[in-house]
Amino acid sequence: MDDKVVKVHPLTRLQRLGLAVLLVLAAFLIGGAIFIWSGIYNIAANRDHLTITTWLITILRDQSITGAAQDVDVPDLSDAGLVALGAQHYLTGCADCHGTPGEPNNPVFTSMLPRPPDLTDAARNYPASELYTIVHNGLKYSGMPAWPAPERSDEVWALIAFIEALNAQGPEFYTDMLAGLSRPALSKPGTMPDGIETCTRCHGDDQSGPIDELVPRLSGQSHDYLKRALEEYRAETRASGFMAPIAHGMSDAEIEDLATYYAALGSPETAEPDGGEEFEEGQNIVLHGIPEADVPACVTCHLGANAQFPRLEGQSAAYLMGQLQVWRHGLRDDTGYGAIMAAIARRLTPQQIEAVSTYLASLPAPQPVAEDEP
Amino acid sequence: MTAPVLRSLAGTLCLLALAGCAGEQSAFFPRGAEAERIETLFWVMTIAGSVIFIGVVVATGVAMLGGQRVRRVLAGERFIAGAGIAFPVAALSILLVAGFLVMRAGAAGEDAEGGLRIAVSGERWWWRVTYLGEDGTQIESANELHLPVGEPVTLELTTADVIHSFWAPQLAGKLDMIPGRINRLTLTATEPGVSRGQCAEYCGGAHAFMSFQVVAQPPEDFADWMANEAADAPAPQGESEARGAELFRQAGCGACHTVRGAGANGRIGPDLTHVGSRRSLAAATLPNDAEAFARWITDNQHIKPENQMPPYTIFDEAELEDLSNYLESLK
Repeated sequence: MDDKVVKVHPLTRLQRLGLAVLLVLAAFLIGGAIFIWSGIYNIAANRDHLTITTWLITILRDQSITGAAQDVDVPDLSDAGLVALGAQHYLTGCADCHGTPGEPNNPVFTSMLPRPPDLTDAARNYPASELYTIVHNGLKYSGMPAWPAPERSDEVWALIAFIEALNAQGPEFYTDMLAGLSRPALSKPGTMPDGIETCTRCHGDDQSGPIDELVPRLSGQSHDYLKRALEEYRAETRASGFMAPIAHGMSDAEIEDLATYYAALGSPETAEPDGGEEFEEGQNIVLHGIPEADVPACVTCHLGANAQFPRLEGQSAAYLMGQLQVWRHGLRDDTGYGAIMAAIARRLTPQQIEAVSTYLASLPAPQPVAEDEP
Repeated sequence: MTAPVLRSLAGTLCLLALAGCAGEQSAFFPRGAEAERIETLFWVMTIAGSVIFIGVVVATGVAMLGGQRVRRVLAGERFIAGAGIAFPVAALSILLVAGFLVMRAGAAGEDAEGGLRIAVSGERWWWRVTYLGEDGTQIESANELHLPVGEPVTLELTTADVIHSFWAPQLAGKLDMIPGRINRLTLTATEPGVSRGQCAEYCGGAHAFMSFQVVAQPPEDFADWMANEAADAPAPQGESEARGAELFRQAGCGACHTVRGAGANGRIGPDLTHVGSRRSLAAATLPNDAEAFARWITDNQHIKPENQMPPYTIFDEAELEDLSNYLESLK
């Protein structure tokens, strides 16, 4: 049909231009297809990108990060415990690829493209909100994974706090910290299971409490509860970017050993009770619940009658509040026990959550239940 | 289908709908003094209204099709004044007075002084039923109202959350349950039998599943029942029941539920002291048997969405069976 038209009328200037553009586009398409199918382009990691490709990717990456970080609110990151927790997670989840700050990295990982950078300078190049975006979302085509439990975005900040402290204090900060925090578990050397160091470096033992108030105290918890918690982390039915990589590779036997070990461990002394209005409100809720709001008393389940329920006395207020918030936001109801608590946590106001947590934190941490002597 | 077939089909369907008027929740089968009066009033009004309606239809027909003479009478001023003014005034006055008389308007409620008082509180979505003894004793139960036949009983109706409405059609009219106040309703069961009641004010998603049963019993049976209800829960008999009792304690059920004599004294959910002796579960939603207990414990959010009990999927099959057997044994 077009041919007919062409024969009848000579093309106008505009039509000739359009035809030329179409021809050029077609040439690009065909050329591009040939290029892609031919296998000429080398995507090998041992060949760096063209300079222009690197330049383009860098702009694309940084613009994308800046855009995604627009609405991120940065909390206070100065807490030393938070920094320490971040350092410990760096050891678990980051050090494999990014190496020990300030030291030459493992050649396996320096052979990646892009090469995982030393993070000592990361905080100079990116503000905290952008670091958060990178760690939480990951980076496509770079090998940088997203946070393994995306719903637990609250956990990411510990790592950002660490990266900022690392930048401020230099690479020795990390190695010094790990050396200083090394905690040989002293109590029962004969029965110490393999890999206990992975637990104690954050959760502490009977000599020292947890590394940060966001980390729960495990000593005094029952064997059954500890076992269930590790199994839930392993199955990823309980979400945590900190615990998932640690529990992932655990065998049933390892879980059994670790649970047995911690269940027999005593607790170091915790804070004394403090009075006050909030304390009394919390005590009231813990002992009697809030019947008019359909909130049952915490003690009915959490006082140790059932080994499947965790003991809450002596846990830090920050940890308890954090977990109740996790429940309120529907992030911990994939397990049978979690679903029970989820229904109850949603009935608590933020103020009641604070009161309950403050009160429970002031109670002495539980000591292991003595084994029945025959 | 031809028109006559369609018509007879429609007629049959109407008859089927009429069948809905029968049954344990029908106001047409009163078993209480108040419901009997309501039924009388209903028939007086319905019959009187029907007679007048037929009169009007006949008059209209005559006015359109009748002979000149009759039509002239109908159009006359005397007929208008008589049938249009005098008759309605007289008929409505008579019916009004009849209504007052039938319903005993203004009369002090039946003398329930010193009689049985029962506090009924609407909760989303069940009924907390507390038998108030003259000596101040309170026996709590749920979702079932037991009444002695022939004795006036005062219900003290209130609510723990939103507005509900208490309606036991075979016994009395409905009365709203308003937050912060107590509405009193006096009932007198006139014959023994089990009937059904229903929340009659939309109170949220599971409103339709908020029912209850009314058990009217001869006074001596009622006294026996009351004595059993006032007693502590029976100790678990079999091995399975004993394991179930232990599970009940360990799983923290007592934080919300009371089982008198078993150390469980939660006040949030229904009292379970004698739950096994009730006629239904979950506010007349499920039958009362071990299977229904198991279903409710694990899957209550599907049976009655958004009810306040968390789903308990933590039990394995054997545990669930033990727990259900225990609850069923709480007679």
